[in-house]
Amino acid sequence: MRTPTPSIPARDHAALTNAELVHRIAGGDQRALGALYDRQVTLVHSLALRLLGDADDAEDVVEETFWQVWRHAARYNASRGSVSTWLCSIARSRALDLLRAARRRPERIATSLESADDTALASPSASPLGGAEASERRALVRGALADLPPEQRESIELAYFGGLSQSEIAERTGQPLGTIKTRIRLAMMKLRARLSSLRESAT
Amino acid sequence: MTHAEAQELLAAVSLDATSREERDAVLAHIAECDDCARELGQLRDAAHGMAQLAPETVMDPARRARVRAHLLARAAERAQPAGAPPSTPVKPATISMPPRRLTQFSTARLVAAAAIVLAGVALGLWAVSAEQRADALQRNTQRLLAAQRSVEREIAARDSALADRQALLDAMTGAGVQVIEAGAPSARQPSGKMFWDQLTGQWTFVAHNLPHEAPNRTYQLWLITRAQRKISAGVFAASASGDALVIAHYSLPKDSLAAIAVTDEPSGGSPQPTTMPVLVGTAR
Repeated sequence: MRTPTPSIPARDHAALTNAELVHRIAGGDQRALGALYDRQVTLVHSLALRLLGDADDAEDVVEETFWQVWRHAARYNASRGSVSTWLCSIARSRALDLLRAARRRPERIATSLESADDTALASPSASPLGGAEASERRALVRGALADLPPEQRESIELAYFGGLSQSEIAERTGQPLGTIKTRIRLAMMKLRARLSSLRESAT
Repeated sequence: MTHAEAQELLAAVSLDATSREERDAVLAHIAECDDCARELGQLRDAAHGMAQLAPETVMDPARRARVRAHLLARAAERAQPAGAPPSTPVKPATISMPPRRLTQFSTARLVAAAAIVLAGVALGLWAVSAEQRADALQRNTQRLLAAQRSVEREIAARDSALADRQALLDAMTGAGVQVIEAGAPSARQPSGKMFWDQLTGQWTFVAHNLPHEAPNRTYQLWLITRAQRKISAGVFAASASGDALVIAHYSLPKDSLAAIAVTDEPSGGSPQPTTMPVLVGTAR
């Protein structure tokens, strides 16, 4: 059940944090939904397209992601992750469902991680964050991943972008399952330590 | 599941890389363990930080506006299931859309509205009782509204296709577009042309006569800077007729491009080129 929230002028939505927008969405504020969409659509779309490699499928995932936000905003719990994390989690889950249903894997990877090093891959017109802020965050993530041993990085990329389980990664890489579990655990611990600042800034 | 066992699996759960049984066991533990719940939240943040690595791909404006309008229309329909009014209602028709699209939608609505009126007149002559008339009118209205939605969807799809073509045309013919030709010295020569829109950072690469790639291989497009940095602009497959179209967005300083190249790489692409270029073109 939604709890009505007081009306505020549309322009004021721009000043709200993502978490505040979600709170307003939970109260039935459709303009807040539009504001969150405008702010985060590129992040969600980029992830969906990266996972699916198909613009139509990515469009479906984008709409379904924000639709889930509208329906389940009240369930959002800031202590369990930022709004960006929540959105990415929904979008990735939807995209992987599509991938698994269609028994296909993305064939097109627009840009490999290593090559996109110091220049933002961005259209300047519609960055979900300020261009500089987005570049900074991207650089932080790239730096964190670049510092991981290649085999650890490969394992978590296969899991995150390929939607593979630990067992499937072991099968694909020809490594023992225990080795893959260790790699994933170590990689994620290091990544968490390096990216802890994202958590505060993205909420 | 013990606390230690859950700790071992938190990282994999944050990536959804466990079995369903493992995940359920961890989540059951988390329901009673604040420390693990907090840690999983942090790990999920880190995992989804990787989304930042997805090449930033901006939806084309028509597609973006269509999804926004549809989303808000759905939200308006499903607003306040408990009867509470939305705090700041949004009318779907007022969502910002490309003007051309609004015009076409309006036309479609006018046609549909006229059809509804005509249907109403016809029904008035046909129906015997007021009740029958109301029922029939409702059915016809629903049918016509469904037809209207179908027309709108078709128009939206055509608008989107048209916008895609227009964007492609702009990216290839704009004032700030640099063209880099790429060729190869073989018999049935592959060829390619890169259109670099320096104003928007869009790269549009068109190639012809590419041999069909071997199994588990893919073509990969590279931007090579004057500092010899090789930047992947994407992997792609050639069509049956050897054609390919690749669109990428990448901001590069105006005079920093030395060349473009296409190489044959393992499926999924390589961090750096590993084979001799199939196509190469020098920027002037």
